[in-house]
Amino acid sequence: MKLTRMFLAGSVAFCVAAAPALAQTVENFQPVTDEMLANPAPGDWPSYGRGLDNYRYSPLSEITTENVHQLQLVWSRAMEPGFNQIAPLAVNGVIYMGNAGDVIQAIDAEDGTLIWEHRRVLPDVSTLARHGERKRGIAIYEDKVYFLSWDNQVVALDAATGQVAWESDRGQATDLISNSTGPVVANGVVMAGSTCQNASMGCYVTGHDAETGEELWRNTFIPRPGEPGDETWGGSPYESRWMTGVWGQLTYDPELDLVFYGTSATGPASEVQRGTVGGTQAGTNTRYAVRPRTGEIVWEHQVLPRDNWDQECTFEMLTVTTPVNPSESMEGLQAIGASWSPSDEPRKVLTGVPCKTGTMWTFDAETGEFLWARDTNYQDIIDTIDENGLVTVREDKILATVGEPMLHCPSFNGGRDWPPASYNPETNIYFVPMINMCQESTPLDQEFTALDTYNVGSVRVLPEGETNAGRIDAINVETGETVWSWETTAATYSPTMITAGGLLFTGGLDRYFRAIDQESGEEIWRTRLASQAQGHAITYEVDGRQYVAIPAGGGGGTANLAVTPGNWDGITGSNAIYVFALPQND
Amino acid sequence: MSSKTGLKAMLGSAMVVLSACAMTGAALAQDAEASAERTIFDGVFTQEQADRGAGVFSQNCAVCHGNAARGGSDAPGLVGHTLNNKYADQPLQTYFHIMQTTMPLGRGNSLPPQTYADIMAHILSLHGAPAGEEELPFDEEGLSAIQIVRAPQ
Repeated sequence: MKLTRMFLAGSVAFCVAAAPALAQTVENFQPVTDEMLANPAPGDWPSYGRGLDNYRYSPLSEITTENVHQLQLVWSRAMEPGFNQIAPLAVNGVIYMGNAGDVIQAIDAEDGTLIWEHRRVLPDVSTLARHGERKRGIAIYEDKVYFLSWDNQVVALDAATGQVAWESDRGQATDLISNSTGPVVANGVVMAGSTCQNASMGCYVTGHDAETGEELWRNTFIPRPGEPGDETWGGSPYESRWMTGVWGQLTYDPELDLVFYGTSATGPASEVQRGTVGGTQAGTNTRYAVRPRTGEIVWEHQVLPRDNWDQECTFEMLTVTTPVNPSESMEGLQAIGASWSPSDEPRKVLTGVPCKTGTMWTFDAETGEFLWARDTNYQDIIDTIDENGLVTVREDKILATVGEPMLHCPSFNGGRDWPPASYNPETNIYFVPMINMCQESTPLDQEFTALDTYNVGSVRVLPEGETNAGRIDAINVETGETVWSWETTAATYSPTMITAGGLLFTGGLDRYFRAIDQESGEEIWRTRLASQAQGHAITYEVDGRQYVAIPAGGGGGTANLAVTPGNWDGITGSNAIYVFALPQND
Repeated sequence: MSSKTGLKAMLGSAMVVLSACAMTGAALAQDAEASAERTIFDGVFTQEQADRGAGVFSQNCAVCHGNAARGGSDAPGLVGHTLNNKYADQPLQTYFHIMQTTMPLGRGNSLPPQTYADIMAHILSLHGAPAGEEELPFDEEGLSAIQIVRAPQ
């Protein structure tokens, strides 16, 4: 009897869930053009970083520092279980978003009603790379929604109906190649990196025709024997060169027609164990500027050679038009470029914090000329950066001895980690989320494979003298000077999002969803969610009302990030998206 | 299996747990000593049990600890050096108790005890321990009688 009832209940739930997917379509769907992606309508958030510039800045200003305390929950909706680090899109009153485990949805942005849902049928996921579960980003372009599947395919859905338009298999899913960050669409090309954290090979970035899915180009990073850069790999056999991929966000500048992406590191962490002693390892931790139609590399710059500490320089960098006047007195200054001279003329730079080290870099976006670099959080890995941007690491921090612990800062989770930063073009201030954290790493005395990732035992600790793990720094992009640094006890580990209303929104492991005053760096509003918030906050407008959304729930790295004492109660699970707005007067 | 049989089995399991809880420390120590020869490499789980555990592991544990339970940036490894260095020469109960009361993260004891035992069987299998004829138990007494030792050379 009980069984029968349960079976019936299950069937009903299935019908309820399946019906909208079959029946509902996005009404009056308007194709999303290149122009709409480059210059989004004020109320839209059409790419993971809003515009292709990836500023995570919205011109909406209904919600301000004055009225933010009146925010109230308008709707929320349960999401699929798993790490919930997703970036929703909002276009013309519809939210398009991924869920962990390859569930893509279109949802009415005003009231949270499901419009359509695509649930991908996956092979046995225990044969796939675990990082592919999280759907950090999806893309929309013309009449299609694009995502990277757990089994490493580029998938295009009809944006109005959620039906599959095409799939393009990049292969090697069971070699543990996948994607966590999602694609970006530029100039008619869908581009996506890949993650090889547990693959016994290197990864790649691919470009696909947005209309047909045809793979147009594929860029790899690890040199083969005899190729340029091979000599920097310490003579290690090609078969033992693993892991290097691009799993941070890609950014695109339409004016320069350049896509920017950065590569990660290699495993094991200890260069002794990976057989590359002293080698700088060309292709790792490198920023690339490439043409989206062909993949042609226009310039490249290695921002961290000889990585022994999983510092993964794959995080997004932004093109910004600004005068470049790095201050000699900026905190943590590492170097100013040899060819730089003071000028009030604006120029287009590529700026941001690409590595877990927390180092902020600024290059000429078109040529790659090095302009300046500085530290943010405490780091003890980089020894010097010279006037050409050439980095030398500290010899005494190399994981040179198997079985011997080495304290290094920051940790394998940063400094900064994957949560993207934001940039306000009106004030020229960059807001980067980071963590105060160091780590004791011990290369393990065991036979290893790529499944052992870095092959170290690790203990996370706070840097000496620190009491807070969570941190956001506001930095002036013209001068490199810190405007303010905000800290809180628990790690934040969530992207920042900023608005023309003077606000910065971000989540926390302590389950708070916060608003910080961009000018003062003071927290001025917070509300507590059911579980920790690592998702990308966004803001959008429907019918003249501004909304703020935050995905929360299952968090990554939680055990490692719990480095601060105290009962901050960072429960994970119960994934959901929460949407807030000001009370309506009518 | 009818729901009635299932209920009976569950009640039976609960009684085993209760009786184990009621045991005194002295009795446990004595038992552990008596069977100290038995280690995780003595075929303390069945292949079928490890296979059951593999399915649950992939759903509940792998996203942080990895499919091979060797850890990564999100969580520590559960096999290899962790067992060899951190838990060697301790009863399996110590390791099992931590898993059962704290995992999945924030949801300790959220799975049936039998399921935790299945997951442990899978972890031991990934660690290189061979399967045997008897299933790994989930009661304190049974688990205390199995020692974690370094892998035989």
